[in-house]
Amino acid sequence: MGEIILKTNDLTVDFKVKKNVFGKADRLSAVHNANIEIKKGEIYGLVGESGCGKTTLANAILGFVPITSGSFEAFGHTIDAKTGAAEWKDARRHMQTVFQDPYSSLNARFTVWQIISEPLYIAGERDERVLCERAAALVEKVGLSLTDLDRYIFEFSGGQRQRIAIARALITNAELIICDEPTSALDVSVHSQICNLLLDLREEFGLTYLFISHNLSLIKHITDHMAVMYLGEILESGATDEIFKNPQSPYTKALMSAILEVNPKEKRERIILSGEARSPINPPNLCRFAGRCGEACELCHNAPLPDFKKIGDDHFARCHLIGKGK
Amino acid sequence: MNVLDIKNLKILFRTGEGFVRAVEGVDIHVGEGERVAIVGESGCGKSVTSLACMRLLQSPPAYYTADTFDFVSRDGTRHNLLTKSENEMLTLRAREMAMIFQDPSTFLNPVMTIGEQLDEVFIYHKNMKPKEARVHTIEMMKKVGIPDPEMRANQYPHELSGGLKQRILIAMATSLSPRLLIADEPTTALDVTIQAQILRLIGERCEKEKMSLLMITHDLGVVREMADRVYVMYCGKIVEEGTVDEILSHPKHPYTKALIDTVPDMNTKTERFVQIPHNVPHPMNKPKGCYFSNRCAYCTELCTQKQPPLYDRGDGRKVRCYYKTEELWEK
Repeated sequence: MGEIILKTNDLTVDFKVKKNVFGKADRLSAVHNANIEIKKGEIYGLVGESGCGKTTLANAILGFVPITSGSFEAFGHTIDAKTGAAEWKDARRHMQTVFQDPYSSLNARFTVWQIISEPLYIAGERDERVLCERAAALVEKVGLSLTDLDRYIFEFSGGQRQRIAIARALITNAELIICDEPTSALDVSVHSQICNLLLDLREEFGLTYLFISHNLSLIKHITDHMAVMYLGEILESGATDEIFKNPQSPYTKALMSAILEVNPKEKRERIILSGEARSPINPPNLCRFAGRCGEACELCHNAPLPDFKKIGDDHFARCHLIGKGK
Repeated sequence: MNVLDIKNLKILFRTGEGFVRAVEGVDIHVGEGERVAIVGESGCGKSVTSLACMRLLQSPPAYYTADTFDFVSRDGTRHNLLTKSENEMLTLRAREMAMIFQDPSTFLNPVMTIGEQLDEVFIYHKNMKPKEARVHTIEMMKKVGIPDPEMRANQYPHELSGGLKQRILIAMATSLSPRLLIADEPTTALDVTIQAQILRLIGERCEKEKMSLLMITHDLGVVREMADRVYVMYCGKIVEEGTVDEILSHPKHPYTKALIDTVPDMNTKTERFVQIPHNVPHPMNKPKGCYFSNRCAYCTELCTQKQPPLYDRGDGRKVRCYYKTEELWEK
């Protein structure tokens, strides 16, 4: 641990939304000035509600959506909006992803070994012996058997499909695996199987994960560092333990109070946010959470969102109210 | 008095590859004003049970039989849901029993405005004129906390967020203050902060209209929040029954225990997650004996041979397991 393998510098992703044939294009701000730092060997959590831009941030790092401004450094490459395809490809060689829904992210016309070995094929390996050999080596690591390799995926359950997706992500010896809600499409009893598998594989292959989830209790247990996003803006980031011990942003507090525990130790007062997230189209340069925030003051509605303040050794948050005695 | 009384409900599906027993002899009762939850993983038959209560399963391919399948309406009449004609069911639904579904967008008509869809409830069931119905619709939308209802009533479902759509469905289901509200995973498709809002709203509506609630969910946190009594289902059978406190704090069935253990505790940090080995068996390929036997840590020879009966302690606490049931009775 220690070496930083991925670092974003004010990474911003905007989408143009066209209003009508004559209308001026609106700007949908999906990710705004995001700064995250992922160290080698750790699990970095990204939390937020749907539409907060956590998947877009991951997609921008993987090159699925173009970066509007800002850049990120990964594996010796600095990539920004102008980076050419060749350098992109070289950087992306070290990253792979596991998607949320294993029912739609695996090709139903491929057999399992074809699915697993496809990234290697795309990376230039054409020798079928090598492809099969690598697929066979991995399939047992993820808890399936060799006999499964020649089957089609309709024969597998959701948990098994996710195992196949994980094997596919591992085959190119990628160092950074981006897990985009890998358990939320699965049954509760299968959740832990997949999480344990991811933990085991990290140990064995020395992997680093960017773990996207809206499930805070999962994030708490699995991640070392985390960032809380709201409408494209990172509001709080740092060491997971510190954030859970001492959440600063009112949004983080609300998220934590929304966790429904099975056997709560004490009855907590729940913060129930009113309303819903505002539209990310043409957002004003203010705190994007102010409209729903129960503690918002005059400043929140009028002044731009302040910079990150240092809360602890490894804990940063941005909010007007920090240090105001509230 | 019970609002819903089901004894020995069996549901059979005819599929192309053979018959499948989705529900195998389930006893469920919901008392007046009571909040009951059915918990289980996908494929355990919990949704099918709730759909059967509303008679929403098409037959064929679904066939259901039961010893008792009674619903008691507000005036005290006992309705046998098995023998009701479809027309009689139409009058029962919405007026006496109503349902909220998991994914609100699939249950709203995309080519009708929200207002028109809510009006229908009043026009159809109360013989109101459209204008009169709209007044009630707006009233109802206010009750479920929709901001600016006059504007929202003229919008189409795609213009609303998931949370708002779920509020519309709740408004639709509760507008005639039915006696029983069935909620099938009402918050699964929603964000955590919206989930908290919707659960609170359902709770409020039930209290205000004195409705009983039958809630289907896989989330034990939701159960703790919403229910008084719980049924745990596995592979079409009820494996445990009791009050929320009994079930969640002192589970007796290995499956319930495992389910609770898989949810990581917020107060400690675990290095590894507790997992249940293997998957839920395929409904056409259930193990002989206890259905949980192939995943159970306490499985014995007996468990793989014979289906355990549902042991009854006499105070509403029931467990379907051979393992140390004696201890259960001694508490």
